[in-house]
Amino acid sequence: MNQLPETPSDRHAKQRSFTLLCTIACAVRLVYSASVFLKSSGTAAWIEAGLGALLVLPATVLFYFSIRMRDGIPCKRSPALICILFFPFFTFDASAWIYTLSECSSYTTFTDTDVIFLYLPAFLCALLIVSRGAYACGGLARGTLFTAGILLSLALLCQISQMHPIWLMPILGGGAEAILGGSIFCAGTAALYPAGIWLFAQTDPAGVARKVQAGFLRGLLWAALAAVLFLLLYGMLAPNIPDAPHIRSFNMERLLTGGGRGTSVHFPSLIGWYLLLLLTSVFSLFCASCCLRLAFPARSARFCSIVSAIFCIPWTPLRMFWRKGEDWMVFLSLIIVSAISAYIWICALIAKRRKKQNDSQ
Amino acid sequence: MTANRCTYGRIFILFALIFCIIFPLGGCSQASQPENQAIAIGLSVDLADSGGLTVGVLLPTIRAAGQDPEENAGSSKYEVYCATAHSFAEAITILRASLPLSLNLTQLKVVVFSQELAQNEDMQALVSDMYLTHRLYNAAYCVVSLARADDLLRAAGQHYPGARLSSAIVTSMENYIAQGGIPQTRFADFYYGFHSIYGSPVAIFGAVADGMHTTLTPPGRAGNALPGALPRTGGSQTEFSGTALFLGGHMVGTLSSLETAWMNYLRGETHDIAYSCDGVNISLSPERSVRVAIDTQADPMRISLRASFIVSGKCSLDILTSLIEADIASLIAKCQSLGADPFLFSQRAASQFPDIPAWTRYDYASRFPSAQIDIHVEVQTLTD
Repeated sequence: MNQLPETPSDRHAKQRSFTLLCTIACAVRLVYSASVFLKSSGTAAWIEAGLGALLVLPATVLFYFSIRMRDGIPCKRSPALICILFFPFFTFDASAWIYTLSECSSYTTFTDTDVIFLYLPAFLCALLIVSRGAYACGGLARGTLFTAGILLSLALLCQISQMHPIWLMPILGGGAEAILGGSIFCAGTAALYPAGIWLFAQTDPAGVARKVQAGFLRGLLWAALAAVLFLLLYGMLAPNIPDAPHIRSFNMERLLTGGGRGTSVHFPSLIGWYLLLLLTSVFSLFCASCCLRLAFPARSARFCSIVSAIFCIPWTPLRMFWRKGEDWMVFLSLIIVSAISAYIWICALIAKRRKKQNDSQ
Repeated sequence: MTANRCTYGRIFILFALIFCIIFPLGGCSQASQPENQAIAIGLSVDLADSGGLTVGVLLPTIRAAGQDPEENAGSSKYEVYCATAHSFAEAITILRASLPLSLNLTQLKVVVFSQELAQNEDMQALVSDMYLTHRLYNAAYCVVSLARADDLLRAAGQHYPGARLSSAIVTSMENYIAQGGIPQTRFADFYYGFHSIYGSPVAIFGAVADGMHTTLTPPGRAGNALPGALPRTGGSQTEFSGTALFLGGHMVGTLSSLETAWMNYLRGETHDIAYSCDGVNISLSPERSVRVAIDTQADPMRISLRASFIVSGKCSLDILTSLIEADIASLIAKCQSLGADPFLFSQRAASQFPDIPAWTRYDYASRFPSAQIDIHVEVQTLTD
C-alpha cells in the first residue's frame, strides 16, 4: 500500500503527540522519583516534585530558546557528539523503567516467575511501539492519557473518604535539606524531558511549529501540576513514617495491599500504572533511537530502534544489583542535560548574531 | 531495497510477537496455577516452648466424596498447618517445604499473634521481618490472641456456617468495626505504628471462648468484658472484642470493647456507640468528629476535647454527660499511665511543627503522660 506524503499538519500533529508523550513521561518520573527512590521525602514528596520540575525549568527554557532562535534551521555542530552523550542516559533510563514495570508485574502475579521473563515481554512491547515510529508513540500517549487518567482518577476518588489531610503534616517533611536533596533527584529523572523534545525537534527541524514550541514549556507545567496533585492526594492516603521511608513511598505493594485499601481499586490502579510505566519506557527508548538517527543519519529509524534496544540490555544488571549506581546516573543526567542545554543555547545565540550580521551586510 | 526492508520489518514483528507469547507462557506450569496453590486465609505466630516461633497457616482443603460422611462432596474444610523454627522466615521455609502445594500468602485475611509473643521484646523485629516477606498480604486484619494464636485460627476456621471463610472473616471484622468494638487495624497499619513518630500501634484483641464464663458483668458495663470471658454460649468460638495497646515495640495493655469504641471516636471515627445510662440502653451518634485542640506551647501540654452526641433513647442528659466525660477521662488516664497514645493526638500536635526534626525535638512521647486533658461533652436528644 502506497503511503501518502507527510503534510506540514501531519508533522505538527506528530510533534504534538510526541510532546504529550514527553509530558506524561515527565509527570510519571516526578511522581515515581519523589516517592520511590527517595529516602527522605516524608510528608514533603509533593514539594520535592514541584521543586524538581522547577530545577529542570532552566534547561527546558534554554532548549526552547535554542529551537526558537534556530527557527527551523538544524543545529549543524551539535548532533553527533551530543547525541552520543545523551545515548547512554536514554538507554539506561529505558532499561530502568522496563525493569520497574517487570518488578511490578512480578509482585502482582501468582507465580514466582523470574523477573527477567517479565522484563523481556515488556521490553519487546516497548520496542515494537518504538519501531513503529513517532505516530505509534504519540498514539500510545493519547490512549494512555485517556485510559490511565480515568482509571487512576477513579481509584483515587474511590478512596476519597479515607483521605486524611493531616497526614501531609508537618508540611516540610524531613526539613529543607532533605527536600533539596530530593528535588535534585526528581530534577535528575525529569531532565530527560527537555532533552527528548529537543532531540525529536532535531530530527525534523522544519516541522517544529510555534504552537509546539509553546507546548514545550506548557508540558513541563502540566507534568509538574499533575505530579504534585497526585502526590498530595496519595500523601493523604498513606501514613507518614520517616523511620521507614521505603514503605511510606508510592510503590506497587503499597498501592495494591497496604493500608487496607479496597481491592476494587487495585485493578484500575494496576492497569493505569502499567500503562504509564510502559509509556515512560517507550519515551526513553524512542529518544535513544532519535540519538542514533541523528548521529548516523544513513541508518533507518527501525534499525536505530533495534540497536537502541540492544544497548539497553547491558544496563539491566546495574538496575538490578547496584541501586547507588542508578542514583549516580540520575544525578549525572541532570548535570549533562543542563550543561548541554547551555551549550546549545550559546551556539544558537552565536548563530543568530552571525545570521543578523550576514543579513545586514 | 524498500521491499526488502518491508519484509525484514515483518519478519522482525513476527519474531517479536512469538517471543511475547512464549515468555509469559514460561510461568504457566501446573504447580503455578492459582487453583493448584495452597492459598492461606489466615496466619498465626506463637512463641514455641523451645524458644523459637511457631507459624501456622489456615488453608482450605477440598474433601472428596465419601471421605467425610458429614460433609458434602467437594465441600471445603479448613486446617491449620504449623511449623516451628528460630525465625519467621525459617518457619515459612519449612512450611513451603512440607506443603505439597506452593504456599501463597497474597490472599491473607487475618494475621494473629499470641499475647505472650506480643508482650515479647522481639515483637517489633518479628513484625518487620513479616512485613518484608515477599508477597505477604499487608492489608490483612491484625489480631492479638489472648491464648495461642493457632487455636484462634483453628476456631475461626470452624464456625462460619453457610459462608466462605475468606469473605466471612472480612464480613465479621467489618461488623465489629461498625459496632466500634475493635480498631480498624490492618497488618500494614500495625507495622507503620511500630515505626511511626506520631503514635503507638494498636491491634484487634481476640480470644477463643471456652464456654466456662458465666459471671455477669456489672450493670450497664457489658462493654467492659474482655474477649474470652464473655458470659454467653453459641456455636462460634471466636471472640473479637477490644484493643491490644503497644508501646516501645511490644504490647503493654488492653482496652475493652467500650473503651475501644471511645478510642475510635477520639481517633476521628464517627460510628454509633451502644451505651447504657440509668439502666436504659441507648445509642450515641456522634454529631461530628471529635474536635481536638492541642496547646504544645503550654507546660504541661494541654489537650482540649469537644465532643457532641445525639442520643436516641430516654435518659437524664446530665447524668449521661457526666458518664461520658468520666469514661473518656478514665480511658485517657489509663493510656497516659501506660505511656501509649492510641488516639492519634500526636498527629494533630505534629501539624503545629514546620518539619519532622522540629517535631522530634519536641519529644511528644515524654510529654503525653503528664498532659492536661480538658473534656467538654454536649449531648442532645433527637427532638432537641
